[in-house]
Amino acid sequence: MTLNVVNFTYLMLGVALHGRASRLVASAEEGMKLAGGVVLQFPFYAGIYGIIRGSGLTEVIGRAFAEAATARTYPLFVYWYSGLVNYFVPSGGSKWAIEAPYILAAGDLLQVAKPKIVLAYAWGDMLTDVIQPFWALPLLKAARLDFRHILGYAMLVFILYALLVSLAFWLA
Amino acid sequence: MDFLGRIALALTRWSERWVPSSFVIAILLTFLVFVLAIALTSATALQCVTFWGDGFWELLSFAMQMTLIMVSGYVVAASPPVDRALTRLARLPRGPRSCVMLMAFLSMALGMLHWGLSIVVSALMVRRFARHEPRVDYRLLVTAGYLGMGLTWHAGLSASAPLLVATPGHFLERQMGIVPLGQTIFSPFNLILAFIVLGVFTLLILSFTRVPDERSPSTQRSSWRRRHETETPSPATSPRARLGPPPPVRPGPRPPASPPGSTTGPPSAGSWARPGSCGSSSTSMATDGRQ
Repeated sequence: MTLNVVNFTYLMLGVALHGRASRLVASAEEGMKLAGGVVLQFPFYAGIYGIIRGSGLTEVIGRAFAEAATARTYPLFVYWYSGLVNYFVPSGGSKWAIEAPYILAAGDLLQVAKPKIVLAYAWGDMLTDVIQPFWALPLLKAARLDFRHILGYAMLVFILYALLVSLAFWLA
Repeated sequence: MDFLGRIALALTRWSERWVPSSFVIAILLTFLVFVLAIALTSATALQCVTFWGDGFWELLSFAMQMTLIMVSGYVVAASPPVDRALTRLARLPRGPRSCVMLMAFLSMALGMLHWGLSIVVSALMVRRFARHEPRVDYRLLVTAGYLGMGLTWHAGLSASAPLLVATPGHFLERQMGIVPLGQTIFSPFNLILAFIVLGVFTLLILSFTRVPDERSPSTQRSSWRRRHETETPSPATSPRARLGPPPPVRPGPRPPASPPGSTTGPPSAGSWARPGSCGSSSTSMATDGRQ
């Protein structure tokens, strides 16, 4: 299920459910208000992605994490590393492109199974999402709040979540 | 678990005072990465500016896909039949706490199906919940709506990295081969962890709201009285709160969730799901969002 399939389904479903074109257009315009913050901020995060990829910053940080890890703790370190980078590049797919070559190579040296690395990466990609404002923008727009209003609760969720999932990767 | 509530309150007070807007955060992160890249790698400042400019427009198709997912998701959700269904769903909870719990569950469960679904439905549901239950701690409700994007999506059916490496011909195929989904998102480890997170945080989010002192005589009396009353809303709850715009829009430096009489505050464990289970003074506080 790619994004294109999802979008196409939504649009066709929207056409069918609204019945009238004018109503569909009106609600699409409403919906665009939700997407406004994302449109403005996306290029900035894409710029950060550009710097990180171009300069090789991920490898420098990745090496520090990989050197601290043993074969047993490697998934846990991948989890933290992926979480750290996620705060700067909060997109799961494009971040994979800049992180994966290094974490897979380092995982090979320690002989860690590939699926484990993928899962540790995936969970790490969520580790800092809850304290990262980007994906909350539509929600905050609809709620008419700013990120600072929910960050207090979000930080508490983040701490407990990081502990719980770290424990899982440490035990696994 | 008043302990967590106390921490949540302190953290909220801190973040509302010191944290800049999300756009400023994006700018600050840019500068931080810029400085880190110059300090830790061999790249020069000029090169970093070029990298930044190159990256700026690189992910345009993904940006458009994301924008469309919100717009087209909204179009579906705002259509009359779905709109009615969502409104009916928002009426299910019987109190502020079950509101927060249902929002957290919905957001995380939908996030496991598809992250785009979680974003859109959460955005549409927070206001409906707030309209239906004005006494809810609004900031906690919105946080609950973010849990799908925050805690579960990359362990679910739209998990981008596991889906990518399961696709034949992906860009790292030579380095790692194809990893079937059965070894990643459908592995026992992932399934168990995802459902533990779903369960734990659906329940845990409740303990983040501050519970007023049970021993306080006024609270006890009012909770007793309310337990024996019909579900008629108290004067302070009704007209403005129900018809007005969604509550606490601009919370002051001090969050409305603080005692005496918390916004969401269940006076006793038995009455937490009941409408009208907190004092009317706190109700008006919740509505205005300031003290």
